[in-house]
Amino acid sequence: MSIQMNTATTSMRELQKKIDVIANNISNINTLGYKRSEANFSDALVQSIERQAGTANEIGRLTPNGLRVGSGAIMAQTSINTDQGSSMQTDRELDFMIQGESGFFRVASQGNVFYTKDGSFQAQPVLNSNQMNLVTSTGENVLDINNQPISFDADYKALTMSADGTLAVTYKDTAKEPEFFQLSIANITRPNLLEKSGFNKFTLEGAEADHIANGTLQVVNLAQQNNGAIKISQGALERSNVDMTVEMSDLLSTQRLLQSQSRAISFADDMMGLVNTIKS
Amino acid sequence: MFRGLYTATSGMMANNRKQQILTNNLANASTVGFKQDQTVLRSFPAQLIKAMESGNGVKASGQKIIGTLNTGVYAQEGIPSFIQGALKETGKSTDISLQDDMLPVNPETQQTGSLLFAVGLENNEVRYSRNGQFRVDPDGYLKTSEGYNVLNQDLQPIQVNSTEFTVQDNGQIILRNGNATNRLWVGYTENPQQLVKEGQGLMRWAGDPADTPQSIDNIGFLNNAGAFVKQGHVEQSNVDLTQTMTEMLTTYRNFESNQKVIQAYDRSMEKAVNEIGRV
Repeated sequence: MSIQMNTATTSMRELQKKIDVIANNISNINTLGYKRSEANFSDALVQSIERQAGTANEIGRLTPNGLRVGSGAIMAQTSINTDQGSSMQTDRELDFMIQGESGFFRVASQGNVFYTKDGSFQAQPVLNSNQMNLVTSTGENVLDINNQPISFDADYKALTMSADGTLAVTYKDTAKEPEFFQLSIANITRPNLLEKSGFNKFTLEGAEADHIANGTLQVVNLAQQNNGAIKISQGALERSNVDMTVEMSDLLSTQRLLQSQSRAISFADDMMGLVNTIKS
Repeated sequence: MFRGLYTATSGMMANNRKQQILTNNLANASTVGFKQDQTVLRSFPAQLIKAMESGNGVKASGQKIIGTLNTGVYAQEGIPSFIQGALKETGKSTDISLQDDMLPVNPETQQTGSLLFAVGLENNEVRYSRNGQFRVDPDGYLKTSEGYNVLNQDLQPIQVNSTEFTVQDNGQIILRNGNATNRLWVGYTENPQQLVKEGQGLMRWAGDPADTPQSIDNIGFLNNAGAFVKQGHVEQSNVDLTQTMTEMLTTYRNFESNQKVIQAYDRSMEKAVNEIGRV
């Protein structure tokens, strides 16, 4: 009976984790550039009971000798679904959206590189200068192709992004030459290695250079090596790819399964009660 | 004293074991590629029962035969049911499922077999799996969700580099750059019951080494037909929740009945000890 209890308890705990994942997806249904997580299950280790009547007495059995009892289910991994979210037209000058599910903006904060799909950027004045930096909504610098922050003079008139990731800055003073920046886009080909680090950002464990070397991602200059898979559009944002219908039906079925595990526990409990009352 | 006491005890133990296996089925109702186990209860070997004294105290050879009696029951085996689980669309390139129901009947044996993926352990041993929920590791190899290598036609790991690849319905993997050197190893066996579950979706062949699952390429009657692999789908567990719950209820009640029998024996013994011979 304790095997039953353990099996059902383990599975309950792991199913609870799945509900946590679903709850997080649902709460991020309006988060820009959010990618839904999925929980995958696998069966837990199996214990084998070998002391049986002996092969001679077991004519007609179909399986190899012994009896194998599994010990429930465990969550094997959570994977990130990188499907493209729907686009939302905002017509705001500093809203950008990457079309193409493997493309991510590269942003940096304190020397660490993060990847994000959230393109709602801001122009932030740099202290003690007349420069502005292009930053994300949480203040990380958006990187250009040379890994530098995108800085331009504060008296800019317009920012124009073309589909190939070239940002043109024009100034109010017509005598000033327009400046051009090339956004660096990370083309992440093994998206299941991404980890969510909060505030709409993803990280890759370890140094970025190692990941570039072994092919997990490429830093793409869209103006040069563009096969058209990744494009940038201005005045639009990528919404969360969470589908409420899918999440709710997942939640319902997981809840019911969780409930059935608790039934299994009460079965085991009742059976132990029966054992205790053999001598009533 | 009363041999039925231990018969009823063995009944409780066997039903308890059955309940454990049912609980495990229930726990894996959402595990991809899980195959539910069906418990087989078997009676203890039959004993020949003879009258202790028959007739006028004739001994040994002359004893009167009453009949045979089984003195208990035990949980003999858990047979995994290899019925195809329902396919669920996920749209992910790394989710691959096998379709047993597309297999033709073997004209020689009149049986339909089951299909399997091959998975390599760290020590290069081969295990089989039905769980096609794969992922790509940092070195670009195709792995199971527990981190074991998925094997190709030569039982070697498959380097797919990115998640952008297509799997054709015969298992051929075509990478983004057009490279098509790898093909998923898809195994065929008509005796899936000889596979022993090891947890983590892995199964070990425990039957005759001569009958290990063969690649579908080597199965003559299939004629390389091979439309058995479906990308973007996972095979759900074949556990039926309703059936499992019902069986758990019955098993519980069987357990209870056996307990009642023990109590009845207890009362008989009480009478035998305390009331017989009372003056």
